[in-house]
Amino acid sequence: MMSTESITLESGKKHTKRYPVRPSITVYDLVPLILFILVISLIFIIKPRLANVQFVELKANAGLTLVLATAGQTLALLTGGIDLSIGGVLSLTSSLAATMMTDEPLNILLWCAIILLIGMGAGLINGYVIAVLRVPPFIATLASWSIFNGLALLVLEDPGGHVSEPLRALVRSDPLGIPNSIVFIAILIVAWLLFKRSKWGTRLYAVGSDEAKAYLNGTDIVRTKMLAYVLSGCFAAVAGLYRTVEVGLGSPIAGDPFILTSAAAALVGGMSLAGGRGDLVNSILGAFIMLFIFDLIQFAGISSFYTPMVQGLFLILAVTLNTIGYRLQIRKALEQ
Amino acid sequence: MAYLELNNISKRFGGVVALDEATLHCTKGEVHGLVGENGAGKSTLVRILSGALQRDDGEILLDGTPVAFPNPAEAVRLGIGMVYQELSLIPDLSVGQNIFFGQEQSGVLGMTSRRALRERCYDLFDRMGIDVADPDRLVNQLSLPQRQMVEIAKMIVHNPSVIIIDEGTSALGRTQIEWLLEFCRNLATQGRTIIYISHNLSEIRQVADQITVFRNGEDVGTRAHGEASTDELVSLMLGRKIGRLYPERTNEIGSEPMLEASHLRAGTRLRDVSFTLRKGEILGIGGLTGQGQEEIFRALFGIQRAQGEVRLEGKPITIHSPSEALSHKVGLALVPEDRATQGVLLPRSVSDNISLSVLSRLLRLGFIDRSAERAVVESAIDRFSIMVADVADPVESLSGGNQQKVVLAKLLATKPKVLMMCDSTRGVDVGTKAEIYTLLRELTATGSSVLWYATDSDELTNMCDRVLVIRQGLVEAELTPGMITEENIIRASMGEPINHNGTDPDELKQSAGIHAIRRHA
Repeated sequence: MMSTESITLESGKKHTKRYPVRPSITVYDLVPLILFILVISLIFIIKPRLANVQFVELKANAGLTLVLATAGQTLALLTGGIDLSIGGVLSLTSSLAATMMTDEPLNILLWCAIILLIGMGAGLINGYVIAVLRVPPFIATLASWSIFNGLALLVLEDPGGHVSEPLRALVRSDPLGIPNSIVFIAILIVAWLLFKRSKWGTRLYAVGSDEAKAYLNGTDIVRTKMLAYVLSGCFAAVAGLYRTVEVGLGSPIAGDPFILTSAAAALVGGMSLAGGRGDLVNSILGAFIMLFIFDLIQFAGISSFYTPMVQGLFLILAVTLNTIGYRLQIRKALEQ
Repeated sequence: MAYLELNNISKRFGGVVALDEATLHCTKGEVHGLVGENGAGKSTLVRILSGALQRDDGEILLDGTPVAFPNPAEAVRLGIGMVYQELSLIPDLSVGQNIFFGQEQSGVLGMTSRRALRERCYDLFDRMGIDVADPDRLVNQLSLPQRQMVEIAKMIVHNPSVIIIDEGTSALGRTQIEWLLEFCRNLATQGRTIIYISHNLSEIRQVADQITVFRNGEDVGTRAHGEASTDELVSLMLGRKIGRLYPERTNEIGSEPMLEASHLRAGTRLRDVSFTLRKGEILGIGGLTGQGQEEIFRALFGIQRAQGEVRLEGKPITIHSPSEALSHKVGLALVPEDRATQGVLLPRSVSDNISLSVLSRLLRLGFIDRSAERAVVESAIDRFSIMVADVADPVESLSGGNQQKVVLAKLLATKPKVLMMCDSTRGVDVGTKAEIYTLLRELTATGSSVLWYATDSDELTNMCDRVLVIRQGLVEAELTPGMITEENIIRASMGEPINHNGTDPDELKQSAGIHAIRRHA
């Protein structure tokens, strides 16, 4: 193919209108950040002494599992799908990590690799069933969640097992002076920002925005969806491993709470079930908002039974704000 | 020798034959016009050429070599560039991302920077010689004309040797159309082949070297530039000598008002418009595009908030939503301009679409009476001669003209008091237009009224009992019978005083640069 710049379009160059450069982030993209600041401010108002480094470290460590699950979920949502199998994969890798991993460095490396492969395999299966067999994502991943959950129960009947101590020590160390969980989240954000602007990132948004039109533009729909679910599977697998190391034991049902919470977190962060919209950074904020609501209720001395209710209300609030923002943005642009 | 040959291409959709051994030959450096009614197979043929559809039979030769386009990407690689009628832009990506989709020049770590993309866009727009749109805007934040321009820019980026423009001007303004026609001529001079599809025969006659007419999935004749008259092209399209396109005025205009609007104001464009629509009357709304005409309809139909007073049969009404407008006691129906996004549920069946608007009248003990539903649907299909293999087929499988008929059928089933047409015949073929005109006359004969915004001044002069010309959100002129001429509509649109005794309208049209479709009486 000839490069773009080689086209001659005759009649000489004419200087056309230049539009003012607008900031790439609009106020509407900041809704999750504003909600995040709101929730964390409330916590610090109720318990001012929590505003310290230890609290941040504690929350980052505890929140990383949900952040990972939400990151995977975000990629699936971006294509217009959903990944319910996150729960099953997380349970399976959690169970495997708690039963198979020893203190041997080689064994640890081997099982880390196997766990990643399991995530990748789960994603390939989901991607194949969804993109090639064209089973709706909700059904396809509901089925694979069930399958992986069954496998997890074969590996580990009840919560328990043991944790590989060297791995735990490694995860808990802070070679850079900051907790590894925070370093990991930072790396995740940087990688995302690079990916978002790459060819594959653009395709992911394109497929979610309008699959038929993405196809007309030459996108390989199957490969793009495969990529989303493979990454989602890998995130879930790593989340399962991390949770086992963090909590100190494995569980064959470890993943279940993360299925819907990851979706809710991503939606609070401005993702759309229709796909093509949203940003992983905002999803991560969404994950922390969900976690901090839990803390907020506890610190306010309210029974934790109210947590799901408040989380539900917050989900409606956030999605309403995001939707209004999205519409306002379009209306404002069209009026100009 | 022909550079591009499509030989005996056939294509079926379910039971409907879209293409029946259609053939099209184009040489290098020519603009080849394709005309035909909606559903004649033009779009299907070019979609096969662009890889969006697969042919059932036939062969495609490019420069003498047989080629296959299993997908759009392969067609683009082999130099086919297509401007899709329904546009192929991805709504949540920016203008720049859309234009250079799949052609991202990777910067650091495979990233494409916003600034680089913006510069490449401006460079492209400069070479095209026309402003397109803000490169950073998301496509879903653009107006329809802007999207159409982006679609053209995106096509040209791949440097195609064969360029297909399928109804690429339907939303464009006059200067943009003039630009596109000249642009096509330039591209042809460079040795590219251009296939130009349009319902606007004057556009086709102006730009095309060859014109091929399609009818019922076949090519029925090719004429060289200047060889065929509009009349001949139209009769080729219809397969018969057409009689009158516009039916006789048979409606009796009542004296009592049906709909009165006073001091309507909405959005930034509609500033102050008042009018009275009488029973049985067809009131035309004219003027250049974007003067606030659409806002009148959006306001009356309850889609857009507006100030002002509206009276229906003398009683003041306020409408907050389309369902209120459509309700039995109000009875305002709107035929929208963009049927795909506003008029029908594309994936649902023809039957569902027609019965949806009258569901409440089909209920028996709270359930839908299936036989009553079938009766309503079948009578509508009959009355509107909708070409459909099965009423259970989704509306998206129908041609554009038939889709618009489904919209009309659906709305007329509600027995509206006022039918509002918002540029509803744009992109609709001549045959369907004639049917719609007849239906409107029948409707007004029963005492209903029609409020009709048309961009085609021919429709205003031949179909309307009175015409209001809107300019800058105000009523510029009210044209009463005897004064409704194309000349006056054009004059008033541009703020010129209207002419009470007829002069030659062609001269003015030429000076205004407006090329109206010349139609046969």
